[in-house]
Amino acid sequence: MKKAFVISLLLVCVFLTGNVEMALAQECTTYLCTGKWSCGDEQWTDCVEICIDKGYAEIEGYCWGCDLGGRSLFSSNKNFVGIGGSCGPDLRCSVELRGRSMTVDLYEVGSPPSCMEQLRCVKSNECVTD
Amino acid sequence: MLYYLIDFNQGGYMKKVFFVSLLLVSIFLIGNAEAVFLGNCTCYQCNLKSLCPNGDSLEFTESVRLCMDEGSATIEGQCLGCFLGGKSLFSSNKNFIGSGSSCWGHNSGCSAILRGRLMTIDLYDEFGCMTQLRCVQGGVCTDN
Repeated sequence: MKKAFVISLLLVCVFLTGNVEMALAQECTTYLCTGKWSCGDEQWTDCVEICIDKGYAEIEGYCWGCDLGGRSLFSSNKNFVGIGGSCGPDLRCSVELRGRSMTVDLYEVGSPPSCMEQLRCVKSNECVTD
Repeated sequence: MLYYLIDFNQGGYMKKVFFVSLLLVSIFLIGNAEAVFLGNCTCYQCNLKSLCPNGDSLEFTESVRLCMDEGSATIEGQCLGCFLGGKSLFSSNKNFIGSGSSCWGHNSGCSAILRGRLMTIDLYDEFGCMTQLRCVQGGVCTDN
C-alpha cells in the first residue's frame, strides 16, 4: 500500500508540475509560409512565428504582425481572429491551425476594394524570424 | 403492336421527365435571378455575447444583414458592422475575414462563417474584447 501511495503521489506531482509549466510558458512555433496577394500575381515566402497563450495569440512575420483572440469567446487555441499592422496598410487577421499546417488570411484595410493576402504555412525548425 | 405500345408509353414517360426537368431548371433560374436582383442580402437573427479581459461582458440579441458580392461581403447590424473579403484565396462565399467596428470596440478583426442557414461572426477589438454572434437566417432586418 505504501508503494502504491508513493507512486500515486509521484504521478500527481508530475501532473501538477507539467500543468504549472504549461501555465507559465507561452508556446511559440515557427512556420515557413508561402504568400499570395489578391491584387497582383506576386508570390513570396515568409518565416512566421506564432505564440499562443490561453485563447490569445500573437503572430509576426517580416514587416507585419497581429494580436489575436481565440474564436468562440477565447476558448479556441486553433482558430483566431484579430487586428494587426504592417509596413504598409493596417491588417485584419484570421489564423487557422491544423496539425503541422497553418493558414493566415490577412485583409488590408483601405479604400474598397480592399486587397487580401493568404499565407499557407508548414511548421519549420529551420526558419528563423527577425 | 406491343412494341409500339411500349415505345409510345416510354415516349410519354420521357416527355413527362423532360417537362418536369424544364420546370425545375426554370424555377432554379428564376430563384437565382431574384437573388441577383435583390443584391444577395440575407437577414439573420443573432445571439450576441461579448467578453473583455477586465471581465466586462455583454449579452443581447441583434438582427444583422449580410450582403454578398463575388468574394466580398458586408455585415450590418444596429451596433456592429464589417467589411469582409472571401477567404481561401479570396474566392470563398462561405468564409470571410475583414474589418469591423462595434458600439463598444471601435476597430475589430471580423470573421464570418456560413453553414447552411447558420452564420457565426467573431470580432476581436483593439481593447482585447472578444464578441461572438451565433445567427440563424430569417426574421426582419430594419433599415439602419
